[in-house]
Amino acid sequence: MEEHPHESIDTVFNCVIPYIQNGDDRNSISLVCRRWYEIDCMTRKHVTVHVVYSRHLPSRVAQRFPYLESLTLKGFPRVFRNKLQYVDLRPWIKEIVVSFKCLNSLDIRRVIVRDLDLEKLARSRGKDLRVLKINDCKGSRGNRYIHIGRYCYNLRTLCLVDNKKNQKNRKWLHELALNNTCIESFQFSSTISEYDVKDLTLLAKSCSQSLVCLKMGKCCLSDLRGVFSHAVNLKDFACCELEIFEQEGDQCAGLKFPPNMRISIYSCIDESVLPFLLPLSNQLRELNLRVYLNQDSLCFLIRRCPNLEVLYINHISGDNVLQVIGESCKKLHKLKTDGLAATHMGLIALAQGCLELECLHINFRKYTTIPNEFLVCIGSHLKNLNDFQITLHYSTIVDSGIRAMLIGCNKLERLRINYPHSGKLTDASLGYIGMHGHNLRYLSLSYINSSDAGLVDSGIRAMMIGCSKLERLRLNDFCGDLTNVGLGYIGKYGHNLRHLSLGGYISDFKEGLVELSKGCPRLRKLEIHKLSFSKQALSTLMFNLQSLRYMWVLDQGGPVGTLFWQRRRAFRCCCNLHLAAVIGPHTSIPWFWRSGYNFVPNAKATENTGLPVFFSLICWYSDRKSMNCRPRS
Amino acid sequence: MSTSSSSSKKIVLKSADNETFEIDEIVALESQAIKNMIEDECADNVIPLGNIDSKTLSKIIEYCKKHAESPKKDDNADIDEKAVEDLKSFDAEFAKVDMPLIQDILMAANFLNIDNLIGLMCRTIADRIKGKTPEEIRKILNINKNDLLSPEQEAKAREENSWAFD
Repeated sequence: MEEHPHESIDTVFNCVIPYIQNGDDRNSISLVCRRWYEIDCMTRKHVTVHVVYSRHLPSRVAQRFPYLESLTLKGFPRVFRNKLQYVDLRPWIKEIVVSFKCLNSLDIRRVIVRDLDLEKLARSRGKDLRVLKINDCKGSRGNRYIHIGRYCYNLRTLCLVDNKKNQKNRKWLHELALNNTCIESFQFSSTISEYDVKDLTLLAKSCSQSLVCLKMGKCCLSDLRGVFSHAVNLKDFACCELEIFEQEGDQCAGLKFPPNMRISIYSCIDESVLPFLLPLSNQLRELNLRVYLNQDSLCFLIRRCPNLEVLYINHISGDNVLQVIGESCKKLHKLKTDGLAATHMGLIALAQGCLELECLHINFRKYTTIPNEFLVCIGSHLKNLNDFQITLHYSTIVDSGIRAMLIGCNKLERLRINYPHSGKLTDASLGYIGMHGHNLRYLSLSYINSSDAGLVDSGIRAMMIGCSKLERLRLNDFCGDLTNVGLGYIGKYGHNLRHLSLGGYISDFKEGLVELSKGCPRLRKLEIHKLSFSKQALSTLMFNLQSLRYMWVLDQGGPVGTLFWQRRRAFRCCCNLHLAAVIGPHTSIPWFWRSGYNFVPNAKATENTGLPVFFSLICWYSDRKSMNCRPRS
Repeated sequence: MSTSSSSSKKIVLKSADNETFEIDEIVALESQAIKNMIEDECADNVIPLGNIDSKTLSKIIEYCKKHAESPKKDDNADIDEKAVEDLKSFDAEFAKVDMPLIQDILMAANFLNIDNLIGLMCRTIADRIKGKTPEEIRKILNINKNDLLSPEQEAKAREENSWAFD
C-alpha cells in the first residue's frame, strides 16, 4: 500500500475534522502526527478543563487553542463539594479577558469567582458572550451579577444557580432587563421575591420575541401575570415551588399563559396547592411531587394531567396510583419514584399504559415483593426504555426476568439493579447482560451469587466483552465471588471505562488491581470501598493508569491512609492525577490531613499542572449510605 | 429547470489513466465543478480529470447516477420514505470500501465539489477513527511516520490532553 502524500492527507483531514467533535477523539487525533496536532489546535471549538491549582494552565490552554469558542471550567467532583476548598478562578478570568478572542460561551462550576473578576469578565468580554452559566460557585460578597446585567447584552442563555440569597443586590435583573433584548433561555435559582417582579416583567417585555425558556426558584404565579402576557413565545416555564397566598385564589383563576407554554413544577404538593394546579393541569409537563396528599387527591390530580412527560414522586402506596398513571399519562417518558409500596399488579398496569417510557427508576420501600413477571412485562411493553434503575429490599426476581427485559428493551443504556442486602441473581445474569446489553453505558450491580467458584469471574468476562460501550461500572458487595481474575477481565475488556467503582470483601486485592491497571486506558475515576490492597499494588496502579484523574478510597479502619502516604511518590509519577482521597472514620494520620490542607492554598509547589494534590480527608461518616463526611478540625 | 430538455445530452469524462466514461449530463451535474464548467461553456465534449484515476472515477459515477435518479429533497417536500431509505442503504453499501479508496474518493469529490459525497466520505472516515488510539489511527489512515511528534512534544501534548476532555 503506497503512502498518501502529505498534501492529500491534509486535505482529507481538513474535510473530516468538523465531523469529529468528541473531546476524547480530538485528544487522540492531536497525537497522531505534528500536522494533525496543529490542525486540531486551530480548529478545536470546545474544551472542558478540570480546574487545578496552576497559574500557568490558562495561558497554555489559550496558546494551544487560540480559536476556542466554548469553555467549561469545573472544580472538584460533586462528591467532594463540601469537603474541599474551591479553586479560585482568578488566573482564568485574567486570561479570558485578554485571550480567547472567539470565546462566546462560558460555563463555570464549583469554583471561587469573585465579584471583581466577574466585573472584569463582563466589562471586557460581555458583549461577545452568548452563553454564560455560573453554577454552584462561591466568592461573592453581594454585588454579584450587576455587571453581567449591564455589559452582557448579547446573551442568549443565562444560567445563575447558587444557594446564596441575593437580597443585597436586586439591581442586576433591572440592568439585564434594560440592556438585553435577545435572551432565549434564562434560569436563576433564587426566589422571585428577592427581586422586583417588575424587572422580570420588563425583561419579558424587552425579550418578548426571543424568550422561550424561563426557570426560577420559588414564585407566585399571579405575580408573573405581566411576564406571561409579554413573553408570547415562551415554551418552557419551570419553578421550584409555588407560593400560595390565601387571598390570591381568585387572581390566579384569570391567568392567561403563552399559547404553547409547558409548565414544570418541582414542589411539595399538599391539599392547599391543588386548587391552583388544577386549572394548569393541561399544560403541566413535569411534576416533582413530594406528596402530602391522600391517595384520592393524588389520583384526582394525575387524571387531569394528560400531557405529563416527566414525573418524580415519592411515597406511593398501593397500586391505585400506578394504575391511574398508566391510564392517564400516555405521554410520560420519565418516571422516578422513591419509597414505593405497591405490588406487581400496579407496576404491570403502569408498564402496559405508559408505552413511551424512556426512563424508569423505582425505589421500593422495605419488604415489597416483586415477582419476575414485572421484568418480563417491561421487556414486552417498554420498547423505548433506555434507563432502568430498581432498588429492591426483598425480591423474587431471577435471571430469566433480566434476560426477558434485556431482549425486549434493546435500547437500554443505563441499568442499575440494587439490593441493599442480598438478591437471587446469579452469574447467569451477567451472561445475559453481555449477550443482550450491547448499548449499555452505565451498569451498577450488587450481590451476584454463583453456584460454583469462578463462575462470577467468567460471567464478568462475558459481560465486559458484550458491553463494549460501557463507560461507568459499579460492582458492589459480590460477597467474595468476584476474584482477582474477574478484575483482570475488567481491565482487559474495559476499553471505554471512564469511571469504576468497586466494593466488596476481597481480602487480597493486589493481583487484581495490578491486572486491572494494565487495561482500562480511559479510566478517569476510581472509587474503592472496603477492599484491602498492598503498597506495591497501589504503586503499580499509579504507574499504569496514566489516564486516572480522581481516586478515592472509602476506608473502614484499614491501613489505607498510611498506605497512601507511604506511596506518595507513586502518585507523583501518575502525572495526571488531580486528587487522591481517603475517606473514612478511622484514618488515623492527622498530620497528613494538615499537610494536605496547607499544601493547597500556598500553591507554590503545585504550579506545574501535573503535580498531584494530596489530600487525606479525615472524615467521620455515620454510615456508608449517607456519606456525610466532615473533616475533623 | 432545464434538466428534462438536456437529459439526453452526453458528457464524456476522461480519467488520469486515459479511460473515458460517457455519462448523461444530468449525472455529471451532481458535481458542482462540472456544472459550473458547463454553464460557463468552457467544457468541450470531453472533460479531462487529470488527478482522478479510473477506479475512483467509476465509483464516483456510480454514486452520482444513483443520486441523480433519486428524487431531490428540495424539489419535492413529500417524497416517499421508501426512496429516502433506499438512498440511505445505497450510501451505506457504497461506503463499504477500503480506506485508501475512501480517501481517493474524498479527494476527488472535493475536487469535483460533490457535497453529499464529501459528507458521506467524511462521516465514514470519522466513524472509523472514533474511539481509536493515535497508533490505530495512524495505521487506519496509513500516515507517514516522518511527521510524528517528538517524544517531548508528545509528552507535553498528552499531559495537556489530560485536562482537556469531554
